[in-house]
Amino acid sequence: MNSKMTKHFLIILITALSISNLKAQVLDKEKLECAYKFSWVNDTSKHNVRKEDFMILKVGDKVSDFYSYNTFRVDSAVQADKSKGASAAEMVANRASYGKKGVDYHIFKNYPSGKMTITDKVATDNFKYEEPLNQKWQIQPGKATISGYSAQKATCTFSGRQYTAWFTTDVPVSTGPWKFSGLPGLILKVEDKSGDFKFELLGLHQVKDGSSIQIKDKPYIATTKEKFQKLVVKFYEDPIAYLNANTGIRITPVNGNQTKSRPYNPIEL
Amino acid sequence: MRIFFLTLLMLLSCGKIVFSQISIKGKVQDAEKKMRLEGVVITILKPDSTTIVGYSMSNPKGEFNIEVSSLSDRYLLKASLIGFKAQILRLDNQNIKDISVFLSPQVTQLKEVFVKPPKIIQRHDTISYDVASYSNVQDRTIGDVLKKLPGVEVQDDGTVLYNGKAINKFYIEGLDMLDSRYGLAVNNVAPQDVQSVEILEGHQPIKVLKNSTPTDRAALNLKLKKSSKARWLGHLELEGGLTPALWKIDALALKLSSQSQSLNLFQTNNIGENIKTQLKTHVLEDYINGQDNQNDQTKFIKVAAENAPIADERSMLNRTFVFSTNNLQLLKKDYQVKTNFSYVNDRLSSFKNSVITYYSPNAPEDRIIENNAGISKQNQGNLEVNINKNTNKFYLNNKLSGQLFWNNTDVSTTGSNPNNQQSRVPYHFVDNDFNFIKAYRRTRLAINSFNHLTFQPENLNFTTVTAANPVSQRADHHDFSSNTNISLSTSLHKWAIEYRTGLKATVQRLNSVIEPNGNTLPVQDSLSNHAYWRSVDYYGSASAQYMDDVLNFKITLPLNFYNTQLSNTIDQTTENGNHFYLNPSVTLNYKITPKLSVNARAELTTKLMGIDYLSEGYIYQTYRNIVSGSNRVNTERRQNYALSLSYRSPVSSLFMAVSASYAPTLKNQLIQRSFDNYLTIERLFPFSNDNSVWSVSGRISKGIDDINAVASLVVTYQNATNALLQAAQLLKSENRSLQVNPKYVMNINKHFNVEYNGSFSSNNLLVSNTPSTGSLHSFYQKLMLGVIVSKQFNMKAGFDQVYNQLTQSQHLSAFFADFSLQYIPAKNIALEMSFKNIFNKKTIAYNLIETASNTSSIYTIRPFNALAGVKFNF
Repeated sequence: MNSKMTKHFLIILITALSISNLKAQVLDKEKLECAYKFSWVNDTSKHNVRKEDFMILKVGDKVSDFYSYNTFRVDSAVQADKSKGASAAEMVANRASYGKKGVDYHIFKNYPSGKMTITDKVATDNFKYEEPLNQKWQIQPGKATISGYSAQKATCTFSGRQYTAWFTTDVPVSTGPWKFSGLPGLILKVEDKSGDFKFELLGLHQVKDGSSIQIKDKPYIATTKEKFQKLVVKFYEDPIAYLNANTGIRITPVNGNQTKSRPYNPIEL
Repeated sequence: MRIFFLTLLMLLSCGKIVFSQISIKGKVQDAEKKMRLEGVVITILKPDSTTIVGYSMSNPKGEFNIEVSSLSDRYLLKASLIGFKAQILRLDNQNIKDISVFLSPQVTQLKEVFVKPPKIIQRHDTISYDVASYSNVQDRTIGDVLKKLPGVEVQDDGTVLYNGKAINKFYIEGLDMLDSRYGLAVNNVAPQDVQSVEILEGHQPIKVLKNSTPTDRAALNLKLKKSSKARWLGHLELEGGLTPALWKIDALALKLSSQSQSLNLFQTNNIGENIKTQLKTHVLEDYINGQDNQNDQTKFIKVAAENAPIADERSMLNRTFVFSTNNLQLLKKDYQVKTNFSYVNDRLSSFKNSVITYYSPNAPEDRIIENNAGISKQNQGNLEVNINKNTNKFYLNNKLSGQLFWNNTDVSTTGSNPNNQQSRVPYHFVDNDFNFIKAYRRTRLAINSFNHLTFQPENLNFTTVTAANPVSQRADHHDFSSNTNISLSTSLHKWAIEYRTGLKATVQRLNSVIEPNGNTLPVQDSLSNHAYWRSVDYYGSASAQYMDDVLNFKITLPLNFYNTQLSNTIDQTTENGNHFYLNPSVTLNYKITPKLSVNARAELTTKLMGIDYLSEGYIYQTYRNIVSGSNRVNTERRQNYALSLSYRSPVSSLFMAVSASYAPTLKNQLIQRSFDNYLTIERLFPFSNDNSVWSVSGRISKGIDDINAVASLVVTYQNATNALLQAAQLLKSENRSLQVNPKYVMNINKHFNVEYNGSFSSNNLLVSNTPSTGSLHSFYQKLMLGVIVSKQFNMKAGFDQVYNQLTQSQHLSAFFADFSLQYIPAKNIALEMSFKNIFNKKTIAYNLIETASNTSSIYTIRPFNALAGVKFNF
């Protein structure tokens, strides 16, 4: 098994092990659904290699949920197989048909009011933390047309990075991709100064009789943003050691590559 | 001190004045339900109503508080929320500390933005084209869409190329129902049923060989839309028209799923649509026996009602019926069975006036004038039954095929030598191909056996004006060939070694006789053949292969030992012979980068020619060509060197390839050509000679997503030489040709689309280094304009131009125009009208260059046709 296969194997195994039930807490009802392309540089030594994920932003009257469609799709497929009684080994064998997962987080903005709740996953563990909604945006004179909407420029500094956003007052919802919110209209595009992180609107449609926006009832470990970030850094520096120390999974690296740290460029500094 | 405090106080108060914020407060309510509204976006705007001064959102109590640094009377407050009508208030008549905003419910219609899937997606070795991005309502078949995909070409005969190389499999939902007759899918599957076209690069169709026998060929897979899978799809199309009475019927029923597939059609027309091409068997790369089992038809009599080298729709005067049924069923334990049956009844007429020129460097040219009116009637039935199991450890394939084919052609000729010819050239065969491969841990055992039996009783009768009775000729021949081998291969790390041994036997019999029936023939002797040819090839080969992720290298060393027997009852001789040949080959595939790869191949092959080269007695090909072979074994040793470089970048929709090849062939016999009045007499003469073909070609295909266009260009230069003896002189014939094919397809917007195809060529025939024809140019170009007025109504106009230079001083050019209308009143019905050859052009002219000869023809094409029809889809 080469290192790539090992990685793929682990992802599917972890997904299979960690998806347990689908009970959920309903927060709001979706009335608008947006799709964003999230692209980022994961290894700052290779600036021209960008990773990509396809993200969904479900917007309700009060709460919005931002998550990866790719992760949702793979998790659903694994869940479907699991409910059919497929074994972990069979699911590993099926891994090619599941496709690639994306990022693991869900960001529920304005839940509770004035805050956001982030759920994320490291290895097999689910975490949950809250953060205030307090980006200080400066509206700038720039104007542009994006995806047919007239957009206005705004800037802010958030978690150690400077961002430029484009929003439209024609869609009167104060939210946007990732943790961004607080502008008088939907954020269509946002990019950090270094160009490492970029969110762009791909699609938008209104939803009649929309589905509910909900937090799945998982055994979340409550934490804070700071503690969670430290944990993620630890995981990236030595994933095998992390898994051995924090989960019941015992992994012996097949070759030297496994013990190496993986490149990691955190969006939040 | 006081001053200091005062100053400080002043500064502070100044500061307070400077930094003081004006706060605007208020609340928002639902105008109907009188309920407080949360999450309402409140913006304070300058009078231009676009510049934002301040903003906030209402809290759960519906209250808002906006701090602005300055305020003017004419500023505006805007409150908006999805599901409500936005309100704009002027602040001059408001109490800015307590503004009440009432919003009325209203269905808000946002401008929706649709997610467009990328046109081309690459996943590992699979390139997936989104069909909807490349097609429009005017595309009738998936073939129309394939032609527009960057990197994909569909040739006139229906062969599909990917980056310049023919595909090796055509799948639908991962299943190979049609085998080499994939034209049936290309011409009949509707683009509306297809989600995506997938190109599987470097695809090895035999799973056992996946990790051991790499290929540079790609397979094509059609992925259907969910709604089109596993249900009966199809259409019925009826068309009628005028001058003369014209018809077209096209009935199709197909059901495609990943378990079973069925494609059935009945088609007939006399409007020039060549529905036979879709039944053509495309040569698929054979990973088991290479080219060993590809049997071409041996044909002695060559009287034909020829087609002109122009689109069949323009030129073909036909009356064709086609019926085909193709079924595939998956069985238990990974077995699948498929049956393919087709029947064709075809009648073709042709009218042409030709001048045939034979060149000789030191003699005047020989010219023959021929005006031909030909009718060809064909009846053809084909049946194939195939059982297949294809798993990672085991491969079994057995294909039984049979064909009955009658081809009767009558040609009546005026000109230099008026005459009438009648030919009967049937071609019946039955063959069976068996392949078995079993993989053990590191070893693979393979057994293959191919057996082929043909019957071809050919006949020719012709009457010249001077003769009272027709000359009649019979040429019966039947062949049997059998090729069976066993191979064993083992792999060790990245190396694999294969040993193969086998036997290929060919037995051919020819009985022919020319009955002069009182006519004086230009040749008096050897008017019959009773020949028997047997060749048994005992072969063994060893091959070594290295393979890793980027490099693949293979060297094969086959040794062939031929034992032959040739007997001819004319001179009562029987000649036995033994021949040894070593035919090594080397192939190399190297992925320089993930986008760029290079393929190289060098090989030597030996071919022992069959009975058609061994007929000592004369046989008429046509009334003015008579040929005979020789009693010596005829061999061709061919070297082939090929190099190709291909680059593809699906993300930027760019596909490029350059290739070069050189193939010199050494022959031990030469054609000796002589003339007797109008008759061309060709004999094989034992004389060692060589010919060669070299060519270079380059192609580039680019999708320009911003303007919805695909542009491509193919350039090919070829130089082919051949030799023959004529009037006791050795003539070297050399044909240099350059061909440039540009193509441009563009969907300007949803209403207009444009397609341009061009083909420019230049040919130059040199005989013994003496320019003979001179450089002759020809081109064909076609422009299509599509107008999609609405979902219900669309139009298409086509303009094409044919230009052919017949001689240095003579050329002919013709313009054509076509027009068609389609009206779609309901989802499943389409009404159509079309007008073809609107300028009612009657003829076209063209050239055909052969060894030291050139034929210039003027060909009668289809006149103006008007058609109307209806199409039901289900």
